[in-house]
Amino acid sequence: MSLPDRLLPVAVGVALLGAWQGLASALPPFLMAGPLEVGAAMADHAPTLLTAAGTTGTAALAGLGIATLAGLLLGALFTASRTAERALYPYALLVQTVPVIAIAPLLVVWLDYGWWVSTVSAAIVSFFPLLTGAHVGLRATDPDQLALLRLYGASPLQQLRLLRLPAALPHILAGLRTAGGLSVIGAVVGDFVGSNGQPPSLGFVVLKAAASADVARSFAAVVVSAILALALFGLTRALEAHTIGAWHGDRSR
Amino acid sequence: MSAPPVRFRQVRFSWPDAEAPLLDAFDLTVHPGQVTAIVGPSGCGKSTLLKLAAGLLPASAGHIEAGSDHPGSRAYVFQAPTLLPWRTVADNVGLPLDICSPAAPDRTRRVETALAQVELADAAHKLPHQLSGGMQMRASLARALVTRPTLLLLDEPFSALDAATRRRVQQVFARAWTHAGATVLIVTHDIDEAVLLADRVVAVGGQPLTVRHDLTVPLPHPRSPALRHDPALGALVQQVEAVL
Amino acid sequence: MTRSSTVLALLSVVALTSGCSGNTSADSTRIPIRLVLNWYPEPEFGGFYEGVLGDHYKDAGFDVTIVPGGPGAPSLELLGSGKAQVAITSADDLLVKRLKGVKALGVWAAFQHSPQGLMVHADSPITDITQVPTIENARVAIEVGRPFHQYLWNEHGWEGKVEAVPYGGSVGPFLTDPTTIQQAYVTSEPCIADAKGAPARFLSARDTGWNPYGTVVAVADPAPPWTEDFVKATAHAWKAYLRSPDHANTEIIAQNDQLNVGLIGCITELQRAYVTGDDGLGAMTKARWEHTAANLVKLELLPEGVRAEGAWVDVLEPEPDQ
Repeated sequence: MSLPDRLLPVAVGVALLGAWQGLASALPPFLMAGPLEVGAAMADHAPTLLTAAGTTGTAALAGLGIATLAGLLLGALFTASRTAERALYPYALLVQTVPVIAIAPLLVVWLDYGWWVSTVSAAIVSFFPLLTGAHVGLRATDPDQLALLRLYGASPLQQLRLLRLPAALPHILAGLRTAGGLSVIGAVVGDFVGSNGQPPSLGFVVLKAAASADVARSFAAVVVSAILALALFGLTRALEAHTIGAWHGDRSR
Repeated sequence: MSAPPVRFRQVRFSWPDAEAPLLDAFDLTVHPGQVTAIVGPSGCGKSTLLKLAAGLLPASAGHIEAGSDHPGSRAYVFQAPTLLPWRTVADNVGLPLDICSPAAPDRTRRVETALAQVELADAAHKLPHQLSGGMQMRASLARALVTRPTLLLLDEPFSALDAATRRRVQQVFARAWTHAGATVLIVTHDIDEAVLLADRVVAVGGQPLTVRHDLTVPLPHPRSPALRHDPALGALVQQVEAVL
Repeated sequence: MTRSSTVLALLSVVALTSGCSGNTSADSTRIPIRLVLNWYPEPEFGGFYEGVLGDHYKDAGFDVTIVPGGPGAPSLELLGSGKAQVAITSADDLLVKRLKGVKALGVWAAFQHSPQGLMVHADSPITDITQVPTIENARVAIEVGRPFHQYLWNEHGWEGKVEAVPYGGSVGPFLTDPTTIQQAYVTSEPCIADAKGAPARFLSARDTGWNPYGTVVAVADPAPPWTEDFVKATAHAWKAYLRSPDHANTEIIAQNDQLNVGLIGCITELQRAYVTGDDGLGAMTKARWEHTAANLVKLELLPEGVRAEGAWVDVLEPEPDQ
């Protein structure tokens, strides 16, 4: 890529920041804070924001882990038994349609203030892409490759281990990529209701700052949430590259 | 174990949605230790014959004899290389051993031998996507040979290769299966190739599938590529073409 | 045994057993109490913080941990499920939640008068909350659907005369629009608006007849055996807080960084009139409780015929104001 090509997104970024600052200057401070203000707020509240990012990030990761496990197990079950699939699939679908923000207050009552509400919230939101990835992936086996294994008398367990699971990895990891960003959203939504600030979480900071018309701080927490989501996304990409990068993906030969 | 014959006796087979059966009272005997080529128009059902012989499809009537059911005694080479993309060439070649005899102490040696037979020893640690089409087909053959099968079934193994690669790979295959001493049943739509490689060429066609012509190729082994231009071969090819 | 040795033995037994009910700092069997607030840490809970910081609770044999809440904090539910031993709530919330099966009992009311109300700019012509419907095109930002909103619109005849818009929880719009009328808690929005350069006037809800007790201390029903001791310590702590709030307020600022010294001073002063009342600090009367229940029945939040009987108990004799 030539230098002008590399600079293109940077130029767009600078232009956007400029427009944002301009808009913020024109509007009353309680409606919008510009990038300079938000940057200042981030610097001023860095320790709190870092702690909050840690809290929310941990919840997102834990939720992602739970969702991955559940998605894989259920996906494997659905592949192994059509009956189980027909019986349980509608309920798996239901999990995706549950509006997390509506059940979060209930979660607080069941699970108490703390980290669990955000974790469960993140898990609920991440579950379906992972189930789909596992479900589609385990079914996406090449029929010739399967015939090959059957020819040599491979048991169902051998088929799973030697063929189905490795073949499913690209789909599962694609689901993980989607779920990664979602898990942060889920954790922040869980924070809104399930966090009382001790320890601080990103959702808590967003809400509380907004209530005091401290828009700059609220935005700052939002920016940190976005960075967290990007970080998780990057993590899933790294995982992909590490596990299947050698044999899967774009390749110009 | 010695190379077995393959016998189709009064075999009947239909695809689930088909109106008429593909095979009806089909008879064919493939002689042990020979290389038999089955030729015919595309889509006539030659690959189905192979799958039936391999036990990958069930016949609805009749009897098929195709060597022992002992895992590894029958090997199949698909039209596509069918290599597992996440395994190295060596691990792909060793896959049948991982299934049938997981703790085999001579696994490494057997894989090396198979790779040597197809001249792929240098590519052992590469991944399939790093190989050319021809190399992938050779790896697929090495995998078929690793269990020392007595029956080798090949389904249009060269059709996806370009002309030059095809010729080289054919050479490698011919040397390898001669060395293995197995019964070889190869399905192809290329009559030149069939006559060049096989001891016997069986031409099939029609609905239901029947044997149209059965030709013995009296040319001696090993068959050099120069034979392609030999008029004797040309005459044989014309015989088969006339029937199809 | 001789008579003197019997007396000695009896005295020793009395001395030993009375020593058990007292408390020393080495005593590790203090009752652990999780006290859940129903809002962010603010001066409206000042007495409880003073209770922890000034050792009032410790001296009475309690190990109190204050758990902050926020909007929608389910303090009563946490009490009901055993995750908290004391919940802070309001009288109307208590009555409604009891109906939903939460076994809670109100035992002390820090806010004799409800801190709820509305807020207008200081230079607004409106001086009393009952004047709001007389304004042309009156618009009030309020938490739509909550009991206070329903009371004003349905019971007080504001329906059709005043437009309700959802309150976003921020004083932002108030700062820029001088005609804004919004819901407010005396312990919060007016001082925030003042600090941000928009002096405000608070209009108390009690002038409309809506005056449930606020910052009510609730325990599980039936009341645990330590309730009386806890209430005594709480009253003690609140008295100390009203005398000198700075110690507790510093801690509150540490836990809620939207507050600062100036703001918290404003709030502490403003809330005094609502904490103390005619009946005494912490007092609760049957008349007031039944009035709240009757209001809720009118709003159909409680079924016909339900009374406040059994939802509260006056553990202490009310003490005169300091």
